[in-house]
Amino acid sequence: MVPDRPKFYAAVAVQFAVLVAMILQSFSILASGREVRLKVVPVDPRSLISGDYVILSYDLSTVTASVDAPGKYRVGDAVYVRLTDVVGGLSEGGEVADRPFASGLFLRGTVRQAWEHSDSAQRLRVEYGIESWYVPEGTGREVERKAREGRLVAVLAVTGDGRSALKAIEEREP
Amino acid sequence: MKDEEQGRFRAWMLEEIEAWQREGLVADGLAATLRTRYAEGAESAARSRLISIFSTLGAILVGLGAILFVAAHWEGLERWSKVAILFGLLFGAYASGYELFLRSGSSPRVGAAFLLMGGLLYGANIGLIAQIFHLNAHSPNGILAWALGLLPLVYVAGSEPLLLLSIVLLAVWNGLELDYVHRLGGLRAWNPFFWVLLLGAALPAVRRFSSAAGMAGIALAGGSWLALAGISRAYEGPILYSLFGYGLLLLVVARWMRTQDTVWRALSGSLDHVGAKGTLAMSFFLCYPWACKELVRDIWHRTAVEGWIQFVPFVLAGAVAACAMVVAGRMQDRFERLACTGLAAIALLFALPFVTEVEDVTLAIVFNGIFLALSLGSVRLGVVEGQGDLVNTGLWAFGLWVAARYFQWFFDLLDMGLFFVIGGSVLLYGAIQMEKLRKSLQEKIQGGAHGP
Repeated sequence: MVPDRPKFYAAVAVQFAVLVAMILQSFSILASGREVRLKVVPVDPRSLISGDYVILSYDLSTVTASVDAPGKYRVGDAVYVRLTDVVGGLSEGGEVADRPFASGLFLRGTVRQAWEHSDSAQRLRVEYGIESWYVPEGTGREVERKAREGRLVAVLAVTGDGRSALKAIEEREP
Repeated sequence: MKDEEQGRFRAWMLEEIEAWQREGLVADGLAATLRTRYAEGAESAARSRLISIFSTLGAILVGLGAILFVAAHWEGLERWSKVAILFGLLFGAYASGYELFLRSGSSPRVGAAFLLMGGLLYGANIGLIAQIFHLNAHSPNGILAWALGLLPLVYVAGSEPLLLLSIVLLAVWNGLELDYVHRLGGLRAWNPFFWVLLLGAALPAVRRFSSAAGMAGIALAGGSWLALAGISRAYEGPILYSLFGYGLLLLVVARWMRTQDTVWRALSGSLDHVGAKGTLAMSFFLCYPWACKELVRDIWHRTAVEGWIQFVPFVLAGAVAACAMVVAGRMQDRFERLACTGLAAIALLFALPFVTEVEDVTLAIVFNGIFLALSLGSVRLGVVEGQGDLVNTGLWAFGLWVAARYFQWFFDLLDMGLFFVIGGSVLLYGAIQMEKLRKSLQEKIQGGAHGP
């Protein structure tokens, strides 16, 4: 079966559209987002490396959320974590809410684990889509070592609605 | 006609020409001319298949080689250079395949191989773009985007390799989604969108291009969904049982397809193959009391039984029995009516453990009967529909049953030396007789398929 040229290239264009959409998804955040720096905290002693990317974790990867009823937050729920500036040009997580804040900078994440902390609070493990950083092959161990020593800072772009993307990983003295 | 059918036809023609010449129906000169004509055709068909195989392998190797070459020099490139290379390779594969081979008609098979290469490069592009821009999206989405992105090209270009790749990717996507949920500690064991995409997007393409391989792919992908749903609930007994019921359902659907138009009738053979092999494989294990004990325990004695998966076999049994009787009522052919009635009876027996707590030995005996009925039914179905592969499947299954029962029943009863001598002799004699039977059935099929 020999298709018409316009139909054939239109079908091929669908694939390019998917790829361009992937690029734009990241690019739109990187281009328009405000720059924020978060300290990369050490993760579990198990290997951080999977394939050729490292798994990053932050202080705000685990947050405490005030709740008015037990079990308010469940796995898969969207949460919003306010960002507050601290010393050294870094930011850290603050207030947690189940809807976007009216003002200020915040990150949008998804609850991956939730457990009761007290009658009025839950501890949440949250993913923001900034937990993987692809590294050149063979350099992962070095990055892992620096993360354990607390020397890495993640540079993010954060939009007004809480979406974020990783821009770079910087090294600093602990 | 597909290449395999053409090959069989030419082989039959050459045999017939020999017979005509022996019986004096054609002169020697005419027989030689006819032989040359069909032998050339047979060689041409064989060459054509060889071209298809080599070009497909070549396309896969070029695609992999391109990926490896780029990967080796990857780190030194700037981000947008990487994107340009990826897009260029992808467009180049498709454009080369279309302009040089498909459109010109010079080599459609090489063109099809280039399309497959493009399909593989598209998947590589998705992964590499995610790496370049550090995209942290839900990882199964990449596989889904790969599967769905291939479908427009499948419909436009009628590419069977891309259709099969898309079906395989949908099954992989389903597995990754279940794994993702499972790792989060979730218990959701189903993914209904899988069926929407499989039946709504892939099946129309299978029908449109009358792809037997695509139909088999859909049947197998559906089975993988059921198996993964069962595994994610960690119930071994119901998994075997559910897959057995699924195989029965495929056989009934194949019977229904044979009452429809020529396209569905042509595709029904694929479901017969997958259904026959699936039911035989699952019922082979259910012939053993230990497997039936697991099943009865899972149904009746698990204290934490929850969720829908344990009732799937029961629902399937009812569906299969009902469909089989409806289809039987519409069948003209006596054998097909008998087959549908037989499938309905098997389906009702299959529901038995859900109605009453059966002894595991009783259930195993029932499944021994079912296995024998299915294996002999497969042989009969293969002869009636001219499908040699079904005949082989049925005969193999029967032989395997005899060997398995011999080991199961006599291993502890006979002296070891005597056990192996008798067993070996029975197997040898049985193999010789079955091979004679298989050959005569195959000749009967080929004579019926290609006779004037």
